[in-house]
Amino acid sequence: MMRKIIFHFFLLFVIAIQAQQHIAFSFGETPQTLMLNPGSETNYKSHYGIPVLSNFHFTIGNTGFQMGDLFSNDSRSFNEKFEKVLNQLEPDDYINLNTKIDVLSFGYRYNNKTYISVGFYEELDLMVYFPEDAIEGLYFGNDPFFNRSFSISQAIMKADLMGVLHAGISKKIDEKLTIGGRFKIYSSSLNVETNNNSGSITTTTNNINISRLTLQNLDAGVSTSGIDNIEEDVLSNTFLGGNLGIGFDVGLTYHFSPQIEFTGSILDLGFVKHSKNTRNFSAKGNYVFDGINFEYNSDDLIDYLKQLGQDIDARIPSEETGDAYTSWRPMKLNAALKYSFGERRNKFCYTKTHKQYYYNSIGFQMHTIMRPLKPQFSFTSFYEKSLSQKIHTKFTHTINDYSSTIFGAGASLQLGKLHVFGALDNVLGVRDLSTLNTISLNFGLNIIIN
Amino acid sequence: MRLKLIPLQIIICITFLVSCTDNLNFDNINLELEPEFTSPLVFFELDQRDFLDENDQEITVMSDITIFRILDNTVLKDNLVELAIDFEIENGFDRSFLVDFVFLDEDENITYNIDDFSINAGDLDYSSTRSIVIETSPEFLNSTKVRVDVVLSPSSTMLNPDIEKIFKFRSSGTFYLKFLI
Repeated sequence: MMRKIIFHFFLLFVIAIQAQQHIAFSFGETPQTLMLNPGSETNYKSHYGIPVLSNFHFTIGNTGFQMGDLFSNDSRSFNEKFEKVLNQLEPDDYINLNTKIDVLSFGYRYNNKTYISVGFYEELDLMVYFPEDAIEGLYFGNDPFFNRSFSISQAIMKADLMGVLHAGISKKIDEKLTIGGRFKIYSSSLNVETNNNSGSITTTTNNINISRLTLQNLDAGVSTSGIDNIEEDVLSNTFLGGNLGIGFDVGLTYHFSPQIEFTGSILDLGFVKHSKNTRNFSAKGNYVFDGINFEYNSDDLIDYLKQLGQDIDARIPSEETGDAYTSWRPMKLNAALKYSFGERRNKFCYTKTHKQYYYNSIGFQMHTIMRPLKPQFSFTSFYEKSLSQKIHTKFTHTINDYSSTIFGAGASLQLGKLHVFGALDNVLGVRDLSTLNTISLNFGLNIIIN
Repeated sequence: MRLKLIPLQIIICITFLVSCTDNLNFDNINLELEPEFTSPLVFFELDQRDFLDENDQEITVMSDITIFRILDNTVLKDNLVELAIDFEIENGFDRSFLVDFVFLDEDENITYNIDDFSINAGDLDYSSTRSIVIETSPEFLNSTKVRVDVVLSPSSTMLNPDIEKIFKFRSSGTFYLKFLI
């Protein structure tokens, strides 16, 4: 009983402190909102993030299966469940992990119309598409699949670990429009990416030998940086010691009327130039393997294995280089349209100003992340409810690659000068873990001075 | 204020107090992989000329050997359960043959000897599958070479190099593996 109580207290704590990034978008005029839209409105004099705790975000999801598909409590063996999941996987299914931790964050109001914010955060992003053919090939082998082409093009992944130093400005143009931008310097300590691979492996029968392995149109490569010194410098390199790049965020807020607000932003429009600690591998060619052709030349015994190796090297030249390469950041597009209604209040803002706001809002949001294979879309409808001037809540329903029934909840609380923000996305998934295939958490602690 | 907070509290509590984990089971997550990989092995063609020396004397045993490094791969070596080898032979000769398919270690000691194939004269459709079960023949895992001996059986019928007759040998192996993850 005590364990259950502790467990539920833990879950209550979790819901109280965490939230999804797209719940944070255009919500509560918090410092977190500035990171998702540099053109969002700010109604405070300054903010100071609690180091490491000012903004923590974690999301993980996969589009291929739910927890229950693999771990349901039934009489089926784990192999049966795994094979069913394998059967339902598509080549564009993927697993994504993203986490961001604000190490430093603060901002101050330069004048009535201008707010400046700077900071530093660490980000880990992993995107791996399920290589269905490779998984099936390893699980079953090639013997059950004569004449089937196993595609190499399904090998697509990108992993990044970096630190981001940033400075942004939010400028109120007039009562209707606020615009903003943020400049970022990326310091990548680890990058691994492979994409645009091609080729196939096929096992067939033929007249020369009983079976034949054909590697056709292979053109594959992997670019990496930082893997050689992964143990020593992986974190220190994120503090401007790694491969550097630059990027921009831009955004705006526009009020069509006092009740209708549009917000939009483009984030991480930038790149990293990898020139230090790079190792790139590539291979290209065709090969048909019918086995070892014995020649029975008793005068000159042939080293067939050496011959085979030389033949493979000649037909599939491969190379490892330390060449520099450019990695584009996964650009994000966000947009939201919000209609506010209900009780109207005045809110005291920074020095001698007040802002009118409504207790209720509804709206739609769209979020897009550019990914290696295709953009990752999310469509969200939301309802915001202010419980008081200092307590705001937001409830969302999201449709995306993961699911069409992702419900989220977020809360923003002002406790004196301490501002707490948190939300959780996929409440149903947490309630029934068997349906869980994605979860996002967000949490922020900041000091806000009005 | 207290009244206004009630909906939020209710939502949080309902959501998590009914959190359901009983329908999941994280015990017995044992994934047993049993892949079967097929690869061509050795093939060759010999004609009557190949069995005659420069003095047109019959060579009764033809032998060739190759290094066989597949078992250097520890994943394969540690998880191999069985190797099944398919053989297909076309004997266009008017003579019968014995074929010896032998696995050897680094010092050329026999690690596994597949029973002789006896191929009758004119048999164009000989096929056979032989299995090496690791449990009963663990020394096979030390194999690093494959030798194939083709033995021409004695006969009163002499070879005639002017007539085209072919002896074709083909082989393919299927490696049965078993992993427990």
